[in-house]
Amino acid sequence: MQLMRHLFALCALVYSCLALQAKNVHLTFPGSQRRGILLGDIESQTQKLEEPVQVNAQDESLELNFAVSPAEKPEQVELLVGLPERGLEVVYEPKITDNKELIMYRFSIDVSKIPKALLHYSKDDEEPISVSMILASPESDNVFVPVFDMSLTFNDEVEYTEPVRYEAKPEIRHVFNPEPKTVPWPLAQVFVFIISLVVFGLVIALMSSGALNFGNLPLNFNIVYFFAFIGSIIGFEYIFIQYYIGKSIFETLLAALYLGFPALWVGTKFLRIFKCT
Amino acid sequence: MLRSFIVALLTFAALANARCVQGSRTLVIYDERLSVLDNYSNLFNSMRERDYTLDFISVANETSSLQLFKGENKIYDNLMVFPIKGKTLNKHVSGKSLLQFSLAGGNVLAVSSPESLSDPVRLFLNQLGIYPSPKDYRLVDHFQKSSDGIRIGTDGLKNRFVYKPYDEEEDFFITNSSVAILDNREQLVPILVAPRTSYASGKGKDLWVSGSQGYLVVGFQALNNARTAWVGSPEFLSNSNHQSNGILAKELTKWTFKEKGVIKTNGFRHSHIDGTSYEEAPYKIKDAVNYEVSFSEWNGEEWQPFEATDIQFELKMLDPYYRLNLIPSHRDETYQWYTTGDFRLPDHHGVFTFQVDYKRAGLSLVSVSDVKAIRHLAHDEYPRSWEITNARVYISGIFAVIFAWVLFVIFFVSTSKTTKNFNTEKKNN
Repeated sequence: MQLMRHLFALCALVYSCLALQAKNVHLTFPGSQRRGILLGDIESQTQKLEEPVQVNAQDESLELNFAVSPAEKPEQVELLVGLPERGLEVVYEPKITDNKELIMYRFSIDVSKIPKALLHYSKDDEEPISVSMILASPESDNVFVPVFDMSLTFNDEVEYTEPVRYEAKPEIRHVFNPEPKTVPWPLAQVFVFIISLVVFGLVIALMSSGALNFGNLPLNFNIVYFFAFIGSIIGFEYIFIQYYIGKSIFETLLAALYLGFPALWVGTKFLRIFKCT
Repeated sequence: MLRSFIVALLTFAALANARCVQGSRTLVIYDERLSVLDNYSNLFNSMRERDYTLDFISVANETSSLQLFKGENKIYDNLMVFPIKGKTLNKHVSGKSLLQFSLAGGNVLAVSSPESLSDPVRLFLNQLGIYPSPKDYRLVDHFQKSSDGIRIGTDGLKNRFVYKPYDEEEDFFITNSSVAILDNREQLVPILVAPRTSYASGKGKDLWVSGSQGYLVVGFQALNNARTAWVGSPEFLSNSNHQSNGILAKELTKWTFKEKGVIKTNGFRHSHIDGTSYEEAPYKIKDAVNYEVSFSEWNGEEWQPFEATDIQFELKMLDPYYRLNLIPSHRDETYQWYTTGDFRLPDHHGVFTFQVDYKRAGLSLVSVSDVKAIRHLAHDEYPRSWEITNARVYISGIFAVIFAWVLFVIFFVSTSKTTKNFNTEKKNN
């Protein structure tokens, strides 16, 4: 039992020796007055910062610095910046300073140089950009953990045109020109009524002024000419109405021709009689 | 004479039984110094079972003759190129001839490895927008504890038309693989993506690509529907990985050689909603019409109705006036018909294109269009004046004047003269 306990402790010690660790991880904001953020040591179990790091301007830049002991120098040191759910990630490589006792790694994230697609989708979906760290070597307890999120709070629009892909496009429906506006029928009826009233008033006025006494109405056979004359005038009006409601101009001219000759003859006849009276 | 007739008959019978739409004559180019064909026997047997005619040519043999064309005609329908050492392939096939083969409708499955990717194949792939890693650059993932290779889950699969896994827990195993960077082209069909934690580096530790920006299996669907696929590792197709990759490898060859992901249309029709055709009554603006198009999919043995929810119809005159999602209408044994339903033609006259341009990554491209004139209204097709309420006031005025005129004439000719005496006073200043 005692032996097992010692073996377990030994295994844990060996494992912890193999485990990779980023020491003294700190985030700074060069070129701005903002205070840096100390993230401490990062291992495979480390949780990311609870609050996302605010990015207030598109020209802001961030620097992530940490150290690794030379004994456990990882083969792969990368920072993944992106939206993993969308499969959009860009890989950053560090600048390495080897000062014998510690190997210093520095990642510079210039926000203006992050691909537009990432900035666009992050702003559009209001989804923070995830920053994950990879420290890896063969046969080691490797580190792949999200370190912090970047929340884009600047108001500038990010211009981005999505690449053309074979996919369904948004539906389009033609927008028809609006129908011409017309007056409401009741209002038009008021005017029609006024016109009718004026005509009725005219007739009343004519009759009341003695303009209708039928005194000049021929009493003999000549009354036929009178009715034929009035009939031809009404006939012409009828032809006009027929043309107005859809008859062709050729039919109209033909009808006018048929009516014209008798109307001319009857009219002449009647007007001669009318002149003599 | 009889002999040539029998040969022709057998060739025709072989083609008739072929499960790929286009043809089954397949040439496998390999280098016997790098590839042992027996290692891929499962893949080749699977292809033979599907009626492929396989010819093998090793380019290691200086005397072997390799021809893709006889005159202007392709000798083969499909081409498989395994890793070839050095510049051996250059003597037989150039990148240009591979491109010509693809332009002539031939399908290509190119397999490379970190140790060898011949220049003609690389040039050909680069033309398509596939950039495999240079020699000796290989995929590494320190987060995978197995020293034999890298396991990739189904989340690495990027195209369901090439392979749709039945089991979400399925893993694919890849060893000793090159990685490709892809151009930003819509014809490219990413099939298998590298894990997020992986990277590809060479002897000098220079990084070629990192994370999910690298691809291990990629397809390309050309505008002439010729297909190309690239696989970064010959081991991916080998018998040793048959258990994990066998189905994907089989489906990949099916897709590349057009056994799957192949659709076609039998045609389209459009008419007035009462069924009157354009020829009987040419379209005019604002006419109500409908449009139908049929689609069919090759399932490896026969054509069957093709089901989709993203087929779109466009009515265009320079720009689209309508882009409508088509809905399934009726189907028969072979075709599924899709319809726009009833819609009104735009209030613009001109020459319009009725078009369905169905292009999806992993499916063969289908485009049908019909150009028809849409006329404006004739002079007697506009609304009449009495239908417009404003005009009714004016019409009333006209008829009031006509009525008053006729009445005035009657009064004028029928009334006798009367003399009225008015008292007049001479105005003296």
